Amino acid sequence: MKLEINPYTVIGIVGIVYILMNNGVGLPGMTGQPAQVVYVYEKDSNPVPRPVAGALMAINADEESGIEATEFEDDTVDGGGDVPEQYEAALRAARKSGLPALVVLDADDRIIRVVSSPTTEEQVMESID
Amino acid sequence: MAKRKKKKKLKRDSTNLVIPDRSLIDVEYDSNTGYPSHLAARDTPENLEMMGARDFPDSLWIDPKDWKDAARDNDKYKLWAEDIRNRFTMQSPTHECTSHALAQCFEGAWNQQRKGKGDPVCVSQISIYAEANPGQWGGAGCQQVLGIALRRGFLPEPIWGQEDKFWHTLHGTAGKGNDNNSSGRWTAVRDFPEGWQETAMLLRPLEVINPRSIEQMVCLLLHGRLIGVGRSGHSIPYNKVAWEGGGSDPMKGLHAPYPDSYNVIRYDSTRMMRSAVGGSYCIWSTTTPDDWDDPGELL
Repeated sequence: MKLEINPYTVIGIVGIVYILMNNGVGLPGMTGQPAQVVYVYEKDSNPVPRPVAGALMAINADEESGIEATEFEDDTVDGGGDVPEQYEAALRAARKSGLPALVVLDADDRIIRVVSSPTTEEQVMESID
Repeated sequence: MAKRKKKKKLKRDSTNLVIPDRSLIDVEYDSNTGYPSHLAARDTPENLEMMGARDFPDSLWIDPKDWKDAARDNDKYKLWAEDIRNRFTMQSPTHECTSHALAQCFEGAWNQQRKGKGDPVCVSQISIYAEANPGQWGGAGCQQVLGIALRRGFLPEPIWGQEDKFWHTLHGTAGKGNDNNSSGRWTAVRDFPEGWQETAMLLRPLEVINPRSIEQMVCLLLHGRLIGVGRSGHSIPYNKVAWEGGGSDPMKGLHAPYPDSYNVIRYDSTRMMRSAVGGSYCIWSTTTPDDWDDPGELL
């Protein structure tokens, strides 16, 4: 029996394989691996809890993590007085959720998750698992 | 023969500091390092407030009875500004001390925002001092150099590959410098590289806190920031607190270590810290680039 292959099926399979090989990049609604984790806060309300700060330091110290962990205070700006581009998405998500919040993003600045008011190392580490 | 009981080794942390040499405590210089009394007299909390510094926020207050626990946490998580310090600077024999202390405070705040000391930025002390004192010798005020940095920022030093990350750089000091602090000739502002202002705007302190007591200074240090101070003719950046004994009294045995701009860690006792409150400042935040990998906005 001759096997007939529908060209649309082939295109579909190739497309899905490509998307999976690229950590989901290109598929609306899907996010890739964590690339950035940001604790967004306003110090007049809450300074960064020590265990959270320690977890962020530990993520950066692990060169193999491939994740950039930082803190960002609500009103911090770049040299031109604007919200730094690298924090625009995180800040939007954190403000929507309410400060303080830990925001995990992929390499394309897509939100993976938002953790409201984390206080422990475990909450930070679980957020990037 | 009875076996000798092994003595349990005391774990060293910030609450049982051992200062290796008593001559490192409360150091006062015979020579002028750059903070003479007539300039020190202008450094007051009122003047700092007029420059835009804000009062100490209540949210950052830590009850003194909790200081040692907070210090142990800082040890555990490596949260002290000292833990993320990248370098010493070396000002000798210049009068640049206020700008060297300021640069440490700026770099510490930058690293604290980044949560680490990888891929840091290091800023030129002379890029500030040259404006504060165009005559080169005689020093400057703590708040005078801070005001210049707030208004127009630092230039980065041409070390650690920064010459490839920024359009403009300037050597760190007209003093000796060291492997991590570039040295060069005295450079007046008119001789800065053309268009330098664009780069300097990227490296500015943003929020400055005005501590009005030794207790507020300790709280800020426990939050991992540095305190720039001037006292006894010399300006330095406190970057930690530690106790040499002291038991339950949080003020007893308290010391503030600092990376002096002479390649050495020194310590101030509470006596010296109290004398330093008036002209002190804390840089809480700095301008933040659109991309940490492109701090000079070259791309």
